[in-house]
Amino acid sequence: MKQWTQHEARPAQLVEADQFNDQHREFRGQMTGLDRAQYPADCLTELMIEAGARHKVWTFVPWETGAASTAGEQVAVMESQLNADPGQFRGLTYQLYGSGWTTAFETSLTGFRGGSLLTEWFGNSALQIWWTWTENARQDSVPPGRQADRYVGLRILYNNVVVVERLGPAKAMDCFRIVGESQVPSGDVTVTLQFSIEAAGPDDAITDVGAGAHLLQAHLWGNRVVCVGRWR
Amino acid sequence: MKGQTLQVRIAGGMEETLPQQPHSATLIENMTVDRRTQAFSSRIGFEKYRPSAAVKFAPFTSLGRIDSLFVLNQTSGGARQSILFESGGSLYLYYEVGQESVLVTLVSGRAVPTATESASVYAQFGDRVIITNGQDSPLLVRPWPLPKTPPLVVAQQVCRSLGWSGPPPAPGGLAVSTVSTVSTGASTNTYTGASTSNWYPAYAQAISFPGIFGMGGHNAGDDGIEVNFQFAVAFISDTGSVSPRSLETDIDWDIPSGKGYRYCPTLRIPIGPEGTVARRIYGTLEDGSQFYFIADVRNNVEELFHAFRRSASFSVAAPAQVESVVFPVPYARVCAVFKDCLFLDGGRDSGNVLFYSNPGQPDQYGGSNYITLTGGGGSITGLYAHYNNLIIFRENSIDVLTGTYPSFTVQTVTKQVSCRSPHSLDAVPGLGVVFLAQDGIYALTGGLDGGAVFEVVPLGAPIQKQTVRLTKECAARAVGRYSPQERAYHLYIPVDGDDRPGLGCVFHLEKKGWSIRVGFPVGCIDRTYNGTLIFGHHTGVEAGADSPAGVFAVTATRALGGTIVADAYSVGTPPTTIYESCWHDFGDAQVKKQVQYVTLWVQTTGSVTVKLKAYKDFEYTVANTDERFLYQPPDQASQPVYNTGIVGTAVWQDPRLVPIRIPVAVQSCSWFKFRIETTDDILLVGYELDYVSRGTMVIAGKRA
Repeated sequence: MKQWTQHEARPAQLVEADQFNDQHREFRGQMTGLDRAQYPADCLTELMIEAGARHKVWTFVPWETGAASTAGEQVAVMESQLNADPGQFRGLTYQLYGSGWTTAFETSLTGFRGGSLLTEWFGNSALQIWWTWTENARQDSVPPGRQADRYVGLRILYNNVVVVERLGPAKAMDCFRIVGESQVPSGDVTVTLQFSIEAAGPDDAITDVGAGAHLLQAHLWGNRVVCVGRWR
Repeated sequence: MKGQTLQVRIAGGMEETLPQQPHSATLIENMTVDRRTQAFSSRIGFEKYRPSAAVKFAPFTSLGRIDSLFVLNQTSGGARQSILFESGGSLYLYYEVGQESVLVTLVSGRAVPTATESASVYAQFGDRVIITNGQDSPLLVRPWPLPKTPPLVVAQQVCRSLGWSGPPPAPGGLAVSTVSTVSTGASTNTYTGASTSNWYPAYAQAISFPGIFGMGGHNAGDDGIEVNFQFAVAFISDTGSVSPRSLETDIDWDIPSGKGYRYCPTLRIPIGPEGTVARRIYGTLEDGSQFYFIADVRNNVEELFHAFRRSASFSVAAPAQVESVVFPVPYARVCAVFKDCLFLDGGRDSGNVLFYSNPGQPDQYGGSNYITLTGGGGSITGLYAHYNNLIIFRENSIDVLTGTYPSFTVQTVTKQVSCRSPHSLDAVPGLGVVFLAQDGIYALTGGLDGGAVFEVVPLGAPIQKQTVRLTKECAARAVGRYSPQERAYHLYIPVDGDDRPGLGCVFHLEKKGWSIRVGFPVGCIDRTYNGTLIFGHHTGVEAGADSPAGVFAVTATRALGGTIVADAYSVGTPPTTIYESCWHDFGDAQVKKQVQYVTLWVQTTGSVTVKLKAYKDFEYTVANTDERFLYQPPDQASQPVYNTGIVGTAVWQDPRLVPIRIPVAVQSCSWFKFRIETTDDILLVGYELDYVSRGTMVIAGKRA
């Protein structure tokens, strides 16, 4: 804060401690109270800035550990090799998955200083969509059935608060990208990535009875996550 | 003969009426109150806003009189503090970011106030400031963010006119080209400039959410129908204010038999004026007249809007036309923020009408957002928000507005006192709102809550001889502010026929008394975040090239500014400080006294010299020759001082409370006063007078 003269030492004037202190205190206050809005022009350079002073980036490849060769492949709900149809992915089946939001990946961002946090989650998805017609859903209409929506819902949560949510990919094979940004208080931030598949309908195929295999309903792979925190 | 003593242990403020209280003073000039000892101190002065001598008066070098000044604090801590001021018809931002220290012209060509007009009035509204002057369109300024060296075009974008100067033009409606359901037509993604064919099949299974999208009825019968919708638009400003609604635009189309599609009409929407951040689209139901909200276009760039919503889903009715009208006061003179509403006077056309904005929306005014002030008080001269009241100063009365939006009520507090100096208004702790009236300085104390009453206190009664010097015609140019740093209310008024302030009247809270200041060229004044008073020079380069100009700070420096001598900045001389005691009658004026000593109770300030003169019986001539004395302990070794104190030997000192006894010889008198005068540092706590009286009475009055 800008200060002006609190005490002016002049000839023949008492060497008064308190008067000196008044001016000294103001000078010190000015220096310690320097705000970034008052910095001299060009007094800061990139080289002087500590790493993470203004922003920090975290990158993740979810599910890259655990099951072998699953780089970026979802393992949160993953059928065992024993039960999966050998001609399909070892992905999500209705034998393992009931419904609802399931955490695919969760991490804690340490060193977050408060400010904007942007998270981008991108990857690929497979979806069993050809059994998406539910017969006899409408009794008197012609045709009597109707389509059953099928998609891979995706959402991002910060500290258990939903930041962004989308219906998600609805094609047999698709790539997706979901981006969320929010202002977050300082401190470690828990980032949670979740997905949700429609529950099984009455006409959905869930088991290959002949082969005795559980049929794939959805699968995620090639997932990557980047979080960018900015606080200055 | 044993003498008698009259003690004034704590010296008080000025009192010009006779007879005077013993603790009062006849004159206290250029003194403040020391915060440690409560003594009167001569440690005052003013200095350039930019203390460096090297920059001289830059960047204010070419500026004349500064008419108005406002310090805008946009963040806590005072880090983002913007100084706005007007000079020569231009509104400037003194831009200090990154030590730029440059002037940025925000607006030029504004009216320069005459000597009898008050300068622009500023009111902070959030991180913005509203500026009114009664001549030009009120401005809204938000002087941040700006780049480090803002180009003129960018800088001027922080400033815009307040309110809506008119409704938006009606949106242009593109015709709807109907298509046949039989054909395999598709929605076009381009337009030719004449029409569009954005359509939605009404068949429920054809698209998702058929109940939401598309306009126009699905006609399942044999006969076609005519579809008619009306659209209108309103602007939304960066303050969230919504403009008046535009005129309507009709879009009609026929759906012949067998053509059952719904359509998505397209509008050409107008671009809003500066400050517009969004456009709001309204529409009617089919063949309806009531407007409903359709959507916001959240920018001020796009020119086309596709009315995608199905009219059956319209549910939020558009506000009535009277809820936002054209800005009613383009010539507002004064303004204030109260209960989150911006209050403005009606300007020269309707000076006794008080207008107010919607809460939080300074650009938006309802058609009934005004109060006509009655009671013959005249035009509004000033507004001041104080606690739970908005105090309305009028030419011949003071009214008070209470309540909350939209239920405001006004009542008159007094018709005997008024204020025509809007820049003299300020709240002073423990006193209320202090202001300059034509006949002196007053304080409006109290309130209207909890049984309290407003009371007008003649605060300036002790210095009436000073305030009667006011140039009444130029009272509007008086300026005042309370200084938390000095704990004093400063009022600078034009006197003796001058058209600009020349006399400072300072009310010291600790003393509950006044002193005056001379030599402070204050044209306008405000305080910074830390309580320092800063002021704009009242003359500037009107006095000639290289004259002192720009913004200055009232501080403890021992100089009256500075001048440029031989192309170099030279610090000015210290102000002359005068303390003149009251006229003492020692209890009975008709008994003659012989004053022998004046003993000043002082805090030592060093080997500085002070002159003392003594007077008697209201005579102008000095009854006692000048006595010069030092501010050192009289019967102890002198305390070390600068210039002679030796480092390593002299130690830091505390000032000592000592008596300095000065002999005077004024012979017999009925009344006695003394005067001390100096340009050095002094601290005066009190004094005592030693005198003898033989009981001699004054002789009988002269026979006619």
